[in-house]
Amino acid sequence: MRNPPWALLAVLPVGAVLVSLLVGRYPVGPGEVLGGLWGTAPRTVTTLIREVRLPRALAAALVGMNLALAGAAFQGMFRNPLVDPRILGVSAGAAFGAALAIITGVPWYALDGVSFLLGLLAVGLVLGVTRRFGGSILVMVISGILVGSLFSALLGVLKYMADPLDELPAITYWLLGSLAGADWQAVVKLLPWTILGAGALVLFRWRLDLLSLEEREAASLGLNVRQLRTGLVAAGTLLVAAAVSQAGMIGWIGLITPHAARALVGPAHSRVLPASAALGAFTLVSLDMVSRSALASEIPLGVLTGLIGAPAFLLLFMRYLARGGGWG
Amino acid sequence: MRLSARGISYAYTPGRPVVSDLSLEVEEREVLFILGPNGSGKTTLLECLGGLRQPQAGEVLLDGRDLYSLPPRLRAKLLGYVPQVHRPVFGYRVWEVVLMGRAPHLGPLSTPGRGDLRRVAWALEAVGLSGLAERPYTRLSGGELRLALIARGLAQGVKFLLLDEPDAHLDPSHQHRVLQLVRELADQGLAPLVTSHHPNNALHYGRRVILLGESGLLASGPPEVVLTPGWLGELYGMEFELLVGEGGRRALIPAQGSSSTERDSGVGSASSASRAAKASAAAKGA
Repeated sequence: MRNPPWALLAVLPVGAVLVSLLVGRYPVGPGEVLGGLWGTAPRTVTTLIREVRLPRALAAALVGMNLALAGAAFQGMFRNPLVDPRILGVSAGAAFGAALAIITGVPWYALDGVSFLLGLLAVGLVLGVTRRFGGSILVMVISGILVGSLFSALLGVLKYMADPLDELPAITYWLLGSLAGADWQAVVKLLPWTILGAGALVLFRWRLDLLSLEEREAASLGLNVRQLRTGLVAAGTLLVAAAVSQAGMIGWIGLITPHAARALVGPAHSRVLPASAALGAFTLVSLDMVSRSALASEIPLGVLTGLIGAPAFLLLFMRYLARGGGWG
Repeated sequence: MRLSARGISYAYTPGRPVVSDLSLEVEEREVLFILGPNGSGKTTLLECLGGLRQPQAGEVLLDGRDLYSLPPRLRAKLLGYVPQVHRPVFGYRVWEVVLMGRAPHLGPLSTPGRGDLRRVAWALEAVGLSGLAERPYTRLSGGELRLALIARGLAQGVKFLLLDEPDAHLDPSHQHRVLQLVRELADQGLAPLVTSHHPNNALHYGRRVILLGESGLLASGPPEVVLTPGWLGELYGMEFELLVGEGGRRALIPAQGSSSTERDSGVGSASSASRAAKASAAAKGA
């Protein structure tokens, strides 16, 4: 841990994006990929690389980065390494928003917008309730759980009302999580939130270490704990809401990648945040590559992260036990 | 500098104050020990004095200025806090934990620089932990963790350091190491405020002692004046005996045959006596 493997962490996501340009149902060699990027290859290849595979890989990288960054920040802030960035109900709100958009016939290009806004609304509710009832972290977590289950119940109502022939399958498919059809539009919609959210977290990276102290102790160091926490929740929520609204429900990335990052670079957030971002991007680009090429039809990405995530988490937990209890 | 409380009260449930109408003053170089039975409000008082829990009545003044209207960062440059229980979540390096003490000296968005790291090195040196700087602080012993948190207070550059039972759960040598350090720091101008359940530690390391009883401040003054069998008997509800050794060194121990509430049952005392006999027999055998 003296020398964090930064070179490896930089190579992994870039390498995954490049490899994913090669992989797919239509075989393209390395030379053709370069030609496609440069614009010298035949038009079908150029279109395939530039308009299909590259934007999808980049969207996967941004989604993975967002989830991992938010996970790292939330785990630090909630002083709990088992926290998933969806703890405050953002994805339940976003899922309800997507279903609402499907049922009310909102045009497909606006679906992600509705989903994003409902995700923010859910966390806004949580922050409001938290503020009303004293602002402690316990109140925040409990109200996150409550708002999350409220939106899950509302989602159930929508599913019950949905037309079982077209709307219900659309909702179900969306909930499984996928980047099929992610184009430059998706990248453009993700990028500003990634920059904004990641930028805010980077600015607060050292303060995140302090927030993992107990509240009174952090306050004794002159921190305005609740204000700082609200700011970090806002940043994390933008990241997750943007990711979920583009890719649907994708679990585990936000929970696991910060652990892997801590194992590689130690627990200080100035190092955990960039390492988590790199690993999150790498993981999701790789998994998306598998999801679209392993079988004849696409495996939903959320299903794949679940299949990989559960055993991966078990491995991490065994490492935790083997070390006599100590994350990172 | 002078930290003073004037008639402060704090109640967790209305009508049942834990601290009630209490006044006291602390100055630099003083080592103030706060003694009292469980539930007498020692920790609450410490938090009120530390700017961490605003009293519902009365005021806490720092050189005449209301502590609770000072900006939090300014307050944190003057008052530091070493909690009784510190549960680490992530295994930061020891130096990273000490570095956290620099927070009040940095702007909201800035990160520590070279000068802050120098200050950390000095603080680790001062508590004798330089050799453990790179160790994850989750792997420190209880005594070393206390020292690391004191070093954080030093890095913080505070005038008053509030220590909540720094001698709890430590073996005698670590108790000595921590409290001797606290006393040395007081000689260099710091004012430590220490809560404790050990009258002898207050006697040996304290410069002033206050006794906090169920109904408020019982006594206050120099250790040898306040820590007498009489006062302690009243404070804890059991009899104490004062032993005076060579050179006038004193120690307080429970009096022979003292009647505390736990010894009331004859069966209990018989079994504890037989256990003691067995223990001494085992010791002889070994």
